[in-house]
Amino acid sequence: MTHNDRGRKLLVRSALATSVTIATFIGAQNLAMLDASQLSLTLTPTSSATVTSDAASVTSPASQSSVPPAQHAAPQLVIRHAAPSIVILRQSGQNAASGTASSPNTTTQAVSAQAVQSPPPSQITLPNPVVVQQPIVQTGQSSR
Amino acid sequence: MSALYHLTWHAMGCEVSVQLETDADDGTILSQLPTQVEAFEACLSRFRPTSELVRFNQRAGDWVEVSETLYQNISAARHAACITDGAFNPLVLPALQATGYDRDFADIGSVDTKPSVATAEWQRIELRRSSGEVRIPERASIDLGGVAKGWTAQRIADDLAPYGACLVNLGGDLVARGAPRGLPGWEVAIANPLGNAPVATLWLRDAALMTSGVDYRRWASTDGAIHHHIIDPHTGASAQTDVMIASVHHADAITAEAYTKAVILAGAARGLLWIQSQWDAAALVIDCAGAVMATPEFLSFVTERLES
Repeated sequence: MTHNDRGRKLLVRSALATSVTIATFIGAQNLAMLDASQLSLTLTPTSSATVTSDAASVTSPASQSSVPPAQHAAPQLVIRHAAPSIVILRQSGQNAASGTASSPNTTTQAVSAQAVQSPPPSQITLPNPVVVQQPIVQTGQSSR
Repeated sequence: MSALYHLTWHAMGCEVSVQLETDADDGTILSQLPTQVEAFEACLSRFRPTSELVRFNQRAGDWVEVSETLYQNISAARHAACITDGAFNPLVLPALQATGYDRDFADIGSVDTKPSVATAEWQRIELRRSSGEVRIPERASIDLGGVAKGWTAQRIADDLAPYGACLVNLGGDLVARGAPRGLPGWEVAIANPLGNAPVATLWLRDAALMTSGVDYRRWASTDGAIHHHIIDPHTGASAQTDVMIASVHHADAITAEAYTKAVILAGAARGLLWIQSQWDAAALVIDCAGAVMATPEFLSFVTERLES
């Protein structure tokens, strides 16, 4: 009787210990899997240019044809040196060497920009270089 | 014995002037330049229906294999957009055309403007170096404009540099290599849009001086609005700015060209402060009220100040 009770208790304790061990092992394994999946999520880029580009290449022509709006990519020109160190050479209101401060003469500009098209190659008369005695001062001006 | 040769001709819608001081050539090399520049223009002009650029724009949305010249220019334009955070955007052409500049400038009278057009992001200019292919978004168009001039001027200067010191002037965009004998550089001037005398003269050596402004190529629409050719990529309209002209000095012509646009869009004070934070850049600005301002670095190049 006593031996039987001891045997039963031992059996029950062994079963309990075994089940706890198995449960602990399974729990630990699940936690390890969870950590691994979170790690892979962290290491996976959320988006990349390549992926975006590939995705764009398989979208429908209709979606491709839309030109993206220009509201993003605003010009955030970062000013790193905040100290105002701009040199003012001439204040506004002071006359230039000749001429006064006025709106640009649009007529003059239109005339000066008349010949946008170059003549076809066959009509080009090749100029010859000339020898000059001293460098000729060149002027920088608005162009595009 | 070295001699100083000078050649002028008309190309890319402007006067081209090249000076070369050399003892290694009798000036023959200069004679070849007009043909070379004509080839560049035939490739890069948006006003020639048969140019490679026009044909490329017609295939927007497709990968297109382009010539080395066009590839280098588009790549340079994309780089210019990158270093200005999009202030310069070569994809503004549809917006520029919507303002009325859709034809030869000489043919622009009083035009009807169209609703402003959104400008595609410059990042969507895609390049494949290995195959020499380029793709832009559908309906987008590239206008190389000042980049093509800067690239051409720099290309000429680099080609001539082995023969001697040279100065290239392409419609007011200047690139120098070396200096004439006995001088610290090539003496150049900055035109004053409000007068005849230049604002300043300076020594230019192994660098570029690029100038852009809203004083150039202006037109009126039927509603009375005044437009100019510098488009703000974010509004699709002519830039609202207090800058009349901006001149930028930099070792690289494309960079200098891009910076002029960035300064114009940022405004005089903000633009000049921004320039000070850029490596090796110096700038001068004339604002719409006639005030002349410059970064301290710019003054180190100035030889003479012509003021009243």
